[in-house]
Amino acid sequence: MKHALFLALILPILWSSPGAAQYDTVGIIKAVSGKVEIIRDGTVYHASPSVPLMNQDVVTTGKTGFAGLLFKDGTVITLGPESEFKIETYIFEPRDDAYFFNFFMEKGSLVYNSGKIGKLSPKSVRLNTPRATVGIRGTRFIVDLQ
Amino acid sequence: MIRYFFLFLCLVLLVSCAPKPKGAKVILLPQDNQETGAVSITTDKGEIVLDKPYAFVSPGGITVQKANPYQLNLEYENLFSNELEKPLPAPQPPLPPIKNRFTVFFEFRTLDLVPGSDKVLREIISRLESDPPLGVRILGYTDTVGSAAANMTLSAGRSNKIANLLTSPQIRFKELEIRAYGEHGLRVPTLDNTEEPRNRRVVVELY
Repeated sequence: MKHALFLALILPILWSSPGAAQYDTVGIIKAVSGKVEIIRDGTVYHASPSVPLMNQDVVTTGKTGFAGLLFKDGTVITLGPESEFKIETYIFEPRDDAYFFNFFMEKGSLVYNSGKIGKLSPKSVRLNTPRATVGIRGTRFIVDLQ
Repeated sequence: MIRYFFLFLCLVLLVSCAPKPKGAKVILLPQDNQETGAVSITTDKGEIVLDKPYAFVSPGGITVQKANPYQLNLEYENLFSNELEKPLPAPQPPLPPIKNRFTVFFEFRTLDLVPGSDKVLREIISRLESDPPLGVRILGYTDTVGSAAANMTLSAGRSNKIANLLTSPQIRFKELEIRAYGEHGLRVPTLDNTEEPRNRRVVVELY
């Protein structure tokens, strides 16, 4: 009986893992040069063009590495050498009025060029770094961690 | 005593050897379409807004400076030469036309529906019982009180609750999609940590 009750509680949760799903594709690697890797669930993958990007992915570049990331809303991010960049939460669902783009840059440099998400819901776009948070209102800029 | 001093020394060494977190230099660039956007940089020293092309702020800086475009192009030559062209917006796939859209609302930070929601649910069920089977999307949202992660869980609970209330052996679906957006889909835009009954909702779309 106790088990049945437990199952009744847990089943709805198992039955579906509602989206903004972690394994939704949020963008792709569009271009790479030099050493570029993706760390997903603790596993390191070699990044090559057209590899899909997902929430929680960490993209790293080597000493001479560059990586061009293209997101669903058209945002383009180019990472410079020795960068470490994490897609914390990326939600772009215009149909459901849901937008959120939160990423974390541990080190390195990047050029950010906003897509639609910056225009639609500017408060929802944030780039976190160890010592500064950059709020983005539809624009193009460089972040260089020194 | 000497032992304590030694421990203290080790601690100081450890702290000073740990890599210092990097400060951010942020430089606003002109865009191809000539529109000027803006970025705000928030540090422990406060907030700075850059809204003019080539405005920049140094790591840990508190004043806005203006970069020399020529020098900037030299300094970041490699980054710029590797920068991706912004693609043309991809055509959106056509969406199935939505026949009905219903919204039910929830009490503050709970899975409890507000009074009067039964009527809406009964209406959805009677639509679902009609032939042929319909496609259903169930979308859960919260207001901005609480952490983003907790709200993601709460909105998933709300979506699942509605899904459970709408499913029964008598009802056939063409498709059923359950999604949760936490505090990332506000119907009424608010600041963080703001109670807003109209944002605590589940939307049910039938198509």
